[in-house]
Amino acid sequence: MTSKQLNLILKEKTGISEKNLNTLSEALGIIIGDAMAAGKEVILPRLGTFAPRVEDETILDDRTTGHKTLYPPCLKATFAPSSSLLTLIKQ
Amino acid sequence: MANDNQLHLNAIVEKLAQSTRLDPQVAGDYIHALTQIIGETLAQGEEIEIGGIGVFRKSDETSYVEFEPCNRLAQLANAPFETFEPVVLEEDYPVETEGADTSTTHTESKPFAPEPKEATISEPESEPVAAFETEPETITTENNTLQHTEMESSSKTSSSKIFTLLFIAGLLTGICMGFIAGFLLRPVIIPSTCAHAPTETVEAPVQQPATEMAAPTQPEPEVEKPQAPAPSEKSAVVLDTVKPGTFLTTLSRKHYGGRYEFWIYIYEENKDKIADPQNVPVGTVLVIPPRAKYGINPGSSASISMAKERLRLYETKGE
Repeated sequence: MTSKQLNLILKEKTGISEKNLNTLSEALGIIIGDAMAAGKEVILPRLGTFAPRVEDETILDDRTTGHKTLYPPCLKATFAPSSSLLTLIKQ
Repeated sequence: MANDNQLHLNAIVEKLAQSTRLDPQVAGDYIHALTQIIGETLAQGEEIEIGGIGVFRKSDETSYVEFEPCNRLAQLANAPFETFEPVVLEEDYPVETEGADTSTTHTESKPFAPEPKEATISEPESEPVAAFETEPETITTENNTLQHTEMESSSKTSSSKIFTLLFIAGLLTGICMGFIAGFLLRPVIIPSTCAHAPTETVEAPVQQPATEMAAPTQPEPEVEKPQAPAPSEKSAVVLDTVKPGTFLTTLSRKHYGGRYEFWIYIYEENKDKIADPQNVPVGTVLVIPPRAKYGINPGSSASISMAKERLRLYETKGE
């Protein structure tokens, strides 16, 4: 399901305009991203938890250049589904 | 129970309403419908894309949910490290991790810790979720440790200064008390006889008896034989220095009870230093013989007569 299709369904269910749906979607992404940058978890009931994870710096061989490269640490956005969502999926 | 490291539904709805300037009810309905649709879509085995967030898909092998954040969300989440860039190393740089095939894969990951700034601000009683108990706690602990170390070092420094000042004050007090005690007890410690005596007392070998010196010319052994001096008098020799206007008779009066007749004994004791008994050079240090050595007794006429006889013999010999 694409984002456009999702908005159509949401529009039908909530009556929110497509413009506002796009705004809400973008704003929710920013809220989740800012929270994870601050080290916070974002918990959405019946869906799951968005949480940041630190990946340490790593030295790897760059495939394109063949040089050893030190990659800096980074924060990666992760998602852990809730138990209700997992139950729903398994059913 | 609220947790500072977690953002729950109410807070999300509130923030969403504020940022979009929409009614919180609308924001709540949106989130409720969104989560419902995501669950239904995943349950059907389809993936779902949400603009500004990312893609959710069901893993067929594990029946788990995979999430792929969109670039915008990934950049926002990585904001604390966005200033870092990959660095190309020298060829001989020691590699601790085995090279991987991909140039963008990192070896291991761990839960992210809150920023040190927030970790420091957070209250001590707030217990973060287990997934977050990595670096923020470490940073907080380090900060606290540093603060405690600084406080302890400053307190140690101040206490050592106080101890040093007390030690110096005690030392000065002790020195002052010592001077005062020495000044007050001076008459007790130093005998009065020595305090004002212009003479010096030194240890010296026992003097030869006068009888040996006078033996060739003195035929009166029973008179010349002095009494055995006390042990303390035998070893103690009195010295005196000739000053301007001082004669041997002056020294005799001074040391022998005011009688001048005993100067002859002083002369005989210092024959090697005195060329002319009438004119002893100023500054000459003379040995004042002890009274017992020559039987000197200012109160005894016999002793005085004996001294006069010795003087007569000297004058006769000199003539």
